[in-house]
Amino acid sequence: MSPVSVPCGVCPQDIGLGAAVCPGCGREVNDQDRAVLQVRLEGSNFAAHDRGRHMRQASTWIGVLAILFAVSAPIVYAMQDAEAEKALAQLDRFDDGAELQPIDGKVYTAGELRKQVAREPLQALITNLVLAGLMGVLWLWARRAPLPAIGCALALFIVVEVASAVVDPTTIYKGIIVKVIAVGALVKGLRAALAARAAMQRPAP
Amino acid sequence: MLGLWVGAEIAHAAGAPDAPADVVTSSIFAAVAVGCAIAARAELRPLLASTGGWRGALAAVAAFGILMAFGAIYFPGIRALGFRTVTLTAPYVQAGWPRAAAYALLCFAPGVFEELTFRGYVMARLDRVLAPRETLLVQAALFSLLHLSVIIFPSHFVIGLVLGALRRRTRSLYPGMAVHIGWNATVVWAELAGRSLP
Repeated sequence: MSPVSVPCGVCPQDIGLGAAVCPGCGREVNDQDRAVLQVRLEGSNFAAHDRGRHMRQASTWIGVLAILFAVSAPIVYAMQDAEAEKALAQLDRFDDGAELQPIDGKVYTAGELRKQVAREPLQALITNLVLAGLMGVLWLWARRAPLPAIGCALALFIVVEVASAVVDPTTIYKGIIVKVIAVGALVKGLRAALAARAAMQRPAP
Repeated sequence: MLGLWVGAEIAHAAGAPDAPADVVTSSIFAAVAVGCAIAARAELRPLLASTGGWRGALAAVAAFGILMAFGAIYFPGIRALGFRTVTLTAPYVQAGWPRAAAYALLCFAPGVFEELTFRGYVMARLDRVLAPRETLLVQAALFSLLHLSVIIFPSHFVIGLVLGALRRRTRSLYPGMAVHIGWNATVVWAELAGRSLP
């Protein structure tokens, strides 16, 4: 039996590193078992402790990103609302049925554009709150299963940043230091989580 | 897919016509999907050798029903909040292309090549490092992320989960391809008919 193990809980057997199921009853090893094995491995192995530190930092950054999205939601809402009010004031001189100059190849009537402009602040608020919620869920998941959660968080953050940069290239420079630190921490965390999962799957000597 | 999308957006900004640009993008993605399938041929061979049988067909019908029911709630909900869903067929209609082109490029091609990529290659590779449940969740997350619109992340995550579960249950990629093609065909048919289904 490996020196690092966790009691099965269903049968009297212990589950060691590298086991996919309990050797006694065949119960599948779950996220909670893996988390306990990781903590016990960290206590007995410096490299494992170092990996655990990187994973916890990445997990913290997922939480930070969730908070940043949540905090930015009302700020972006207020900014967009002010812009929308200016745009609506300019549209005041047109009747609802008046056709305007095409925007991105599409012709709007003044009434349609008014509705669209009025909805934009709420849409920006919902979008940022959805992102905050997704990051929050990933932060919670990262405590049980760091590898998939950190991978998803990194993919989500990169996709959002690339999409924002394509729509508005000026967003590339906004908060660049935070973005670089966050991506760095997530990449380090992902590599550590991969190494930790490999160590978990390797039977102890 | 992210690189292809950025390339397509740059081409659009440079004034390239949308419909031919879509053909180029779809062709490159198809080539990437086939490359992925070849790279993971050992894992994909059993998934492509079996059709799933009548159980697979039943599971596909059930999955399609679940997706239609879910879509009937989710998409009207986001439209009620004022979000505009992208009109996929507009470039083909504007270019005067036949309806078959829209069905081929928006239903058949994504149905086959996205299934080969996500439920085939991605799931096979993730299975090497993740537990089966984690693989299911991560491939669904990647599938939704690469549709590149925050407001459809939740809906496409659910679609990815259903298609992933279908692949696991039937041990075949064909039922998922059929459901994916059916779903996209419903959206394209609704757009061309001027309706807002699902």
